[in-house]
Amino acid sequence: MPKIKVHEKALAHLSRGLYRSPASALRELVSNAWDANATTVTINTNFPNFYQLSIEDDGIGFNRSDFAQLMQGGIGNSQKRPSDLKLINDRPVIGRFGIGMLGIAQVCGAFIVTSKPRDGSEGFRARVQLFDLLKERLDADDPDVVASHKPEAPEYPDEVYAGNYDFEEFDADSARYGTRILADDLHPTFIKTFQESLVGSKAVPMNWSKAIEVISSKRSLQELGDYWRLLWELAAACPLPYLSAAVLPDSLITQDHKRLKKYGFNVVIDGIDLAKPVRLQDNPGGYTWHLIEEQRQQVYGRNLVFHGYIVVQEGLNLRPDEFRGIMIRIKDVAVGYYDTSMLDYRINEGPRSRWLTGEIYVSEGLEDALNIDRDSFNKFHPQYKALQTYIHNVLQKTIFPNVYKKIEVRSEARAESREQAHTQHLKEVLKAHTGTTVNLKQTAAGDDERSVQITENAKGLTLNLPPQESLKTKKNHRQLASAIMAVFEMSLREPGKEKQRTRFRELLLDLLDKW
Amino acid sequence: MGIFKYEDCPLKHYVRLEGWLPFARRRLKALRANRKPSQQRGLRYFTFCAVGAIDVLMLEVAKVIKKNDGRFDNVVFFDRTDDQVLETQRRIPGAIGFPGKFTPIVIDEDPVADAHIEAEEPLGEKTRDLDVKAVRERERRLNVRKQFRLQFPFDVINLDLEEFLFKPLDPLPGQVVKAMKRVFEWQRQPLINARGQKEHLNGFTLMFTTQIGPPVMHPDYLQMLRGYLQQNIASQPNLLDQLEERSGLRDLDRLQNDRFDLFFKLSVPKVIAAMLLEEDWYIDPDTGVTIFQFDRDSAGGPYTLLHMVMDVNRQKPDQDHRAPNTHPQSVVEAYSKVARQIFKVPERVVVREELDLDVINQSLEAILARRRIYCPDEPQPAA
Repeated sequence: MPKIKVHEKALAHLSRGLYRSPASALRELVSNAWDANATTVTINTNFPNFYQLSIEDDGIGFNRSDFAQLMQGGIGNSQKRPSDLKLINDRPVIGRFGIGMLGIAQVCGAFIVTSKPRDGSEGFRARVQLFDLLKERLDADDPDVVASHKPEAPEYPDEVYAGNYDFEEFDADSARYGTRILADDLHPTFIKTFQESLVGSKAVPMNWSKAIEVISSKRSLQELGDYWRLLWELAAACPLPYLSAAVLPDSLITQDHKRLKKYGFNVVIDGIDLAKPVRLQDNPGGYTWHLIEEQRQQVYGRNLVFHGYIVVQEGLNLRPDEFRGIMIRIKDVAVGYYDTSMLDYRINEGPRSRWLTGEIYVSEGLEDALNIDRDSFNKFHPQYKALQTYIHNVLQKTIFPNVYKKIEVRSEARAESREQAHTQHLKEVLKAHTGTTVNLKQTAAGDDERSVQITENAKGLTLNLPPQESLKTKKNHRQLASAIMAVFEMSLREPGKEKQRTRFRELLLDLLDKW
Repeated sequence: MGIFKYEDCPLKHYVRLEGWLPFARRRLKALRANRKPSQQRGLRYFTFCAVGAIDVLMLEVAKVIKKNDGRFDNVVFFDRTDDQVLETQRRIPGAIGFPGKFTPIVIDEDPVADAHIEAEEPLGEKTRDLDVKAVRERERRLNVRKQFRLQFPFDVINLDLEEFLFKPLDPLPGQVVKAMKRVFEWQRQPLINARGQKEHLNGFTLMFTTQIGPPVMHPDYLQMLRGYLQQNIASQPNLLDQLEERSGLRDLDRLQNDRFDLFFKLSVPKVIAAMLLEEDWYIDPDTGVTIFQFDRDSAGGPYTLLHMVMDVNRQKPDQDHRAPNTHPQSVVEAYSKVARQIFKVPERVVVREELDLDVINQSLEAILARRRIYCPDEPQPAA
């Protein structure tokens, strides 16, 4: 049978628009640095001008011939690292898709790659220039972009080029070990967007913990602008530790925090040392949570291993909005960002879904379910479906039932406290008008349930109020009805209709004033 | 000790310590005087600091420049390449770096960007040009210019160009002169503080470096320089006596031909003074112009560097409140006084033999130690 060939133009197209945000493109480069055993990745955005964007790691680097090989056909040629490759500090191998380096092409037309390998092999500095108007030129079969066509299949080009590169003078003595990518032909739209995002925006504190405080006070990252969003998304997406193990209740992330710390991996952007932007503390309504212990499943003969947590901030919307939903991480790297649909959870939980956040760490499987942008999943992939079913089960059978229970308890407590406050208020209003102590009692069922009886003795006045259940009105209105009846009876103690009318009006208005 | 060319040159560092630092300190003092604590702000510094950023770090070690939340965000610099901007920011984190060639970017005529800055309205994004490199580069250059202009004014401007002020093939008045004029013009812009209030500078400190030369200077430039000297002498004939005292000459042609270095040293400050005057500033006559001079060897042969430092004041009343083409009497007198000072006070010639190298090295070590804090992975000099 004839084989199916995928057109090479498709890949060239992809090289210009794969990721949905600059943070996603940087995330891929950070993942490369992780696999290169880097301990620190330094990103510089040329803040506040944004004329350049650089990402530099102190990893093993790669040599001139590796680079040439990558440029001459290696881009997009999925070259997963060998499974026996050992990374430092027991890091899992993230594995490259291969197009990561070109991901930066989304925001620039050229970049310089410099690398000095730690193994002593030949370092290099190369300028990569991407072709302008690539899509149009591909469609027009521009010979500079589309090489000669195969005689046996003239509709297929032999090769497709996305740009060119040139080695430049490399000073090995002054270069640092590792790899640096410097995008210097950043698109004016990118520059302008980021420059404008700073207008009226708060300065980002160098201390990331303080920055998180600022972020947590905002409804959405949009209020802070694209630069803050870049920092937050990068911090959320990269395989970084949390600010501390105490940022979530009940040691939910203690083990993961410890594990991530052990990897010894830092991402510093414009001098800000990032950590996961997760922090839930001091909510007056408390939290409901569920720890997902490691789950092992076989899906069509393949392993799916994951663990994680889900937390609900009771009665209070999460801030920023971008923090709500469920984030899936494969080998500790986020796939997209927090999914507010909670993997397409079908039950409408109303405002409660805006209180929920969670992370699922997938340590084995699910990679085949990734879409090419690594920001989303093929939702019909069996492993994705298996994970989705598990999560939805947890949401439906554990999380939300617990949330509802807590809502009920909170509602009852609130109602009780409100009732006490109203009773106290009624007493104070009556005391203010009579100048004597007022006691309130509920008439026992079976007595005259519909009227208010007032008795007076040396200790003051005692009002026997009808049992609330006997008042034929809405439950919410019963206490008010009873109080109005009380002030009515009190006003009847005045001599003459005019005084009664005046007293009733005063009592009623005072009662309603703080009800 | 240093890893970048000339950064640990003791002659240059002497100029930093004895010229730049005291002037910057004085500017900071002036900035702080008569301000309430709530109105205090940091010294704003523009520099061509080069990757090593020695001048910035010297000012930080001396507490003249302070970081805000760990960032040198009152420091603005230009570097030729993106690589250099990146490396500089590594050593002075948070400083605001602009890539590109300073002079062409600054003198680029850009009415659209200027109008935009005045109107504070966003530029339109729609353009007939295709999205190709040349178009992007042009847009970026305009944006660099616009953003750079928005950074003005500065309390201290250090134009440490270390190149010729007048390039052989550069038409009169020369790109650097035009750029300097533009810079002085932009210095008149108000500074907008965090509360949105405008602050007009009363003065700033100017540091300017140039090589003496070029050896074969275009006749137009020579004519211009001679013209400045002639003007001064015509208005103050006793300057000829001072010239004779310094050079043994009373004739400007002979001065130009026989003592070109002195001819240059006397006339270039006049060029700067005249530019400042045109842009509504003047050199403070009490401190005048301090000139340092030293020789440097290079692969292309030795050359002489001149470092000039001066305090600059705003004319009062300013140009919007006086008759066109006039200057206040006090400014005219100040200009004459500065002209006399330039003729009378010789430059300070810096020679290695007369330097206290211990003091210079101690200062450099303190600066480099500070730099290592910001840039701990500094590549080490080859053994």
